Amino acid sequence: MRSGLQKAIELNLTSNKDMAEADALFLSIGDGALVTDSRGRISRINQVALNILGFKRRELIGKWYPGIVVAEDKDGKVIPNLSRPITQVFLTGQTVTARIYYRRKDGSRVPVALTVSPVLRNSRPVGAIEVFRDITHDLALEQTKDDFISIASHQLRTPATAVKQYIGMLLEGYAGKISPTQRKMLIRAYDSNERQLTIIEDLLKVARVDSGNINLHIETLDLVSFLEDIISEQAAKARKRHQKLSLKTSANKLLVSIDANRLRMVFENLIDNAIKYTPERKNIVVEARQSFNHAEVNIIDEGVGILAKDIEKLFTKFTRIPNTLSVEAGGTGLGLYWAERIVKLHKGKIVIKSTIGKGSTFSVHLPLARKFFTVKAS
Amino acid sequence: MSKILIVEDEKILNEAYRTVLTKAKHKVFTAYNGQEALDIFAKKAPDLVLLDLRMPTLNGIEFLKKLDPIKNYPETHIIVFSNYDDQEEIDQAFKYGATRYLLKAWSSPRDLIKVVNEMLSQKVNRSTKIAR
Repeated sequence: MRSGLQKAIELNLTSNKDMAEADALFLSIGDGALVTDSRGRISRINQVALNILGFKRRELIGKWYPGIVVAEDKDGKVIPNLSRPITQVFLTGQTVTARIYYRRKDGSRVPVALTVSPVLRNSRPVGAIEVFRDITHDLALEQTKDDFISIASHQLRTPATAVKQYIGMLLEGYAGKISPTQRKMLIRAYDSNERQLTIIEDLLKVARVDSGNINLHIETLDLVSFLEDIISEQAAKARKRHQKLSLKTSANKLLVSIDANRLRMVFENLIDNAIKYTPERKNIVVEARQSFNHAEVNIIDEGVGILAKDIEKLFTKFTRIPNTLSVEAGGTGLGLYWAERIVKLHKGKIVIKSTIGKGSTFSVHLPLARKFFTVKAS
Repeated sequence: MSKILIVEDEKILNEAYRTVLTKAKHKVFTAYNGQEALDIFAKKAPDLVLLDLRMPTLNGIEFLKKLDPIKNYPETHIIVFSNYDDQEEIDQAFKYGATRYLLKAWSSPRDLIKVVNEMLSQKVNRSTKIAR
């Protein structure tokens, strides 16, 4: 089966030593690898790739890659040719990485993680090289991990809720009068339980977003009044730290199509962070404005700032930046990770700018509701 | 004094709510699943049901479907008291007659009494759907 290619290598050996080395390298890649010409026809493929895809070499060589190997998303929808990673590479000249599913020759599906890079000659793309591996086991592991977190959190929640009820009853005098010292201790227990419930809640939220089984409940609403509402609810927290929390906007109305419950939690999280990481008697401004075709919400604090090296870590799970201002225990390190995932599901992004000692700005970009945008454009 | 039916499969929680609501001077009945709740409801005609959703035998949504409070008991308050805030579940609960949706994890005994008394002091209003 490999003779055709081996002959090619031998031919290359005599004619061009460098080419032969490149071929040998290509063949010994431990992952699946294939090369196409500039029109997407497969010119070379290694044995690992053939094993993953279940084709024979002669069935693929010379064939138009998107035509012969069907790519699908996780829901089983065929990825149209224009959106295929390899097509993207030809269109943009950039390397593309993705996780998709391929249909094997026998019709079964295989999940793969792939990287496609353009092959350039004199800076012109003359083809592409795709390296991919079967991630069936990775996905199964991830699934097990998500299931574990989800089940463990559900199981933890009932007893934690019961603790809340019973400490609550003690505090409210259901079992008789309690002394000031007893009250103090019970309040500590109650607060710890609140924290425990928050962690469980965060773990569940992250497990849900990681599993990909998340349905956004999209409604079109005015972002300005939505933010006003959130800010009036968060104002008490800021007042406790003698901070001024205010909304600044040049727009009367910014219509966005969002999952209100989830984005409310995102903004609450960002504002809560701003309050915690800003010294007392300083200001926090939430600014809402339109920027081209998207809405931009800037949460601007006068806080301690974040080091550049920490900024990139903020969106990874379990990252916590030590808070020099606060004596209370920090969060779970899941809030921002979750927030970014939710904003991304809305086709938006979160951008962070920060200066040490001056403060940070967390910008949430959200696409404007389509209707609103057309009205503005015309 | 109002009649309240607690439907909760976790014994420790069921007892906690009973203590809290009895202390708040209500007449309390308890059920441990939706089927038991239907039987007790038929006999006692409570003014308010505190309803867990995920229960064995007959869950909270199934209980609501069978009871059909919108048609049969429009005057009865139904507070769903759940640990889950999936939008689908919230929508279903309101669709089949819940009048309020509360999350267990964020409700202290005091919060619970406050909401229960607040609801009992008003007529059933199914047009506002408060879930938190």
